[in-house]
Amino acid sequence: MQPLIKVTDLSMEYGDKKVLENVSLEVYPAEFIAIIGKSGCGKSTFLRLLSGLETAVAGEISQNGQTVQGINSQARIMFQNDRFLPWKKNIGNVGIGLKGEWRKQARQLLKQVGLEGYEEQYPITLSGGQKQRVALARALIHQPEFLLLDEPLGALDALTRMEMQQLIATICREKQVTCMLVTHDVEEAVMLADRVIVLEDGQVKSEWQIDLPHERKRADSKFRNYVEQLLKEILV
Amino acid sequence: MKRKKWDNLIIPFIVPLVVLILWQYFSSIGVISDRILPSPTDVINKGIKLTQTGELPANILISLRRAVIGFILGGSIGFILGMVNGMFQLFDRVFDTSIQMLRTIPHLSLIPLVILWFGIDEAAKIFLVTIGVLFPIYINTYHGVKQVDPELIEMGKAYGLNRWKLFTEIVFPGALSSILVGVRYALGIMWTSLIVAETISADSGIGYMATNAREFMQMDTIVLCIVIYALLGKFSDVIARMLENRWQKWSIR
Ligand SMILES: Nc1ncnc2c1ncn2[C@@H]1O[C@H](COP(=O)(O)OP(=O)(O)OP(=O)(O)O)[C@@H](O)[C@H]1O
Ligand SMILES: [Mg+2]
Repeated sequence: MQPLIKVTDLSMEYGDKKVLENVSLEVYPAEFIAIIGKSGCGKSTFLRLLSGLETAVAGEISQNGQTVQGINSQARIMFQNDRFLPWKKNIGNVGIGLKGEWRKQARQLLKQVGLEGYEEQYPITLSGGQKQRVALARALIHQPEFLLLDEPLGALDALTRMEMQQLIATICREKQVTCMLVTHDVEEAVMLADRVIVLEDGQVKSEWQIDLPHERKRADSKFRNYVEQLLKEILV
Repeated sequence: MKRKKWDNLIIPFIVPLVVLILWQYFSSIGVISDRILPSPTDVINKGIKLTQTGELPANILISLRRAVIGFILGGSIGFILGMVNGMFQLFDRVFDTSIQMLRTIPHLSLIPLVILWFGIDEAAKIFLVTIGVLFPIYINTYHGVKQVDPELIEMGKAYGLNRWKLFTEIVFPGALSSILVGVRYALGIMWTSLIVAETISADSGIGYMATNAREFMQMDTIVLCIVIYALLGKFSDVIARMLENRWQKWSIR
C-alpha cells in the first residue's frame, strides 16, 4: 500500500535552536497515529509543518506523492484552543472558508458531533467540550484526507475527555480519515492510535504498533501493559 | 417585566422635565429675566417661527451636510490609514510615528491657518471636521487591528482563507469594536469642530445663526441653536449606539 504521507529527513530550527532533526515517517491511509513526548520536544512544530503553517529548513513532506508547499489544503488542523471567531454563530464558524451550499453540510456535521440545535448560537455560550465538538465539525467539513489534532482535548475534564475520544474515534473511522494526534496523555494515545510515535528532543525515538482491537478497554491488561511501557519510554 | 421597561424609559426624564417646568415657572413670574435666559416657550415659539420661514431647516441642513461630508472624509482617511498601518509592517514603520506626531496638534488651533487658506469657504469647515474626525478613527482602527488575536489569523490561514477573506472575516470584524469606539468619540469631535468653525467663520449653519443672533441680542435664537446642537449630538450618538448593538450581538451572552 502507498503511504498517504511521506515525511523525509524533516528538520526545523528557530534561530539557533534545533527543534526537529531528520524526522522521517510514513503514514498510511486511514491510519491513526499518536505522537507523544515531553513538553517542548517539537510535537506542535511537527504538526504545524504538516499543515503548512510553517516551512521546514530541510527535508520534505509529500502527500499522495506530491510535495506539500504552502498551506496544505488536503489537511486540516484542530488546535489545542478552539480559535473560534466570536462574532460568528456556531454554524458560521463551522463553515469558515467555504463557499456555496455549505450550510446543509454544516448542520449535518453539527448533528453528528451531537450539537443539533446549537447552529444559531454564538460560541461564547458553549462549554469547553461543546467547543471542541464544534471545532471538530469545522475541521471535518472540509473533508480532509489528513486530520491533525494538537492536544485538542488537553483542556477538558476527564469525563468529557473520554466522551470526546470516543467521538473522534468513531467519526474518523467512519469517514476513513487519516489522523495524527498529539497528546500528553499516554492512555489517550493507546486508546485511539494504531501506531504511537515517541518523540524526544526533536527526533523519533521509537514507534509502537498497538495491536488491540477496537473498542479498547482501559482496564484490559494488554492496554495497561502498553501504557506502562510507553510511560517508561518517555520518562527514561 | 413590561412595567420595568416603562420605568426605565420614564425615570431618566423626570429630572429634565422638572427643570424645564421650574425654568418656565420662574421665567413667567419674572425671577429669570428674559435678557438672561428666555423661557422654554419663547424658545419653542422661536423655533416654530424660524421653521416656518425656512431659515432653521435650511441652516440645519447646511450644518448637517458639512458634518456628514467631513465625517465621511476624515473617517475614510483615518480608517484606511489605520487598517494599512495596522496590517502592514512596512507602512507602520514609515507612517505611524509621523501620524502620532501630527495627532498632538489640537486641530482647533489650526483655525487661523484654515481661515487664511480657505477664507469662510465651505472647505474651511469641512477641513476642520475632517481633521478632527481623522485621528480618533485612525488610532482606534490601528489599535483594533493590532489587537486582533494572531491565533485567529493563523486559524484562518490554515483553513484556506485568502488575503481578502482574512481581512473581511477576521481582521475587520476583530477590529470592529475598537473602531466603533473611535466612531462614537469622533462624532463628538465632529460637532465641536463644526460649532467652533461655524461660530468663527461662516455665513450659514447653526453656529452662524447663533453668532448672528448675538449681534441682535436674540436670546431665544441663541438658546434654540444650543438646543439644536444638543439634539443633533444626541441623534448621532443614538445612531452610533444602534450600530454598536447591531454589530456586537455576539458579545452578549
Ligand atoms: N515560533 C517559535 N519561535 C521560537 N521558538 C519556538 C517557536 N515555536 C516553538 N519554539 C520552540 O520549539 C520547541 C518545540 O516547541 P513545540 O511547540 O513544538 O513543543 P511541543 O512538543 O508541542 O510542546 P508542548 O507539549 O508543551 O505543547 C520549544 O522549545 C519551543 O520553545
Ligand atoms: Mg504543543
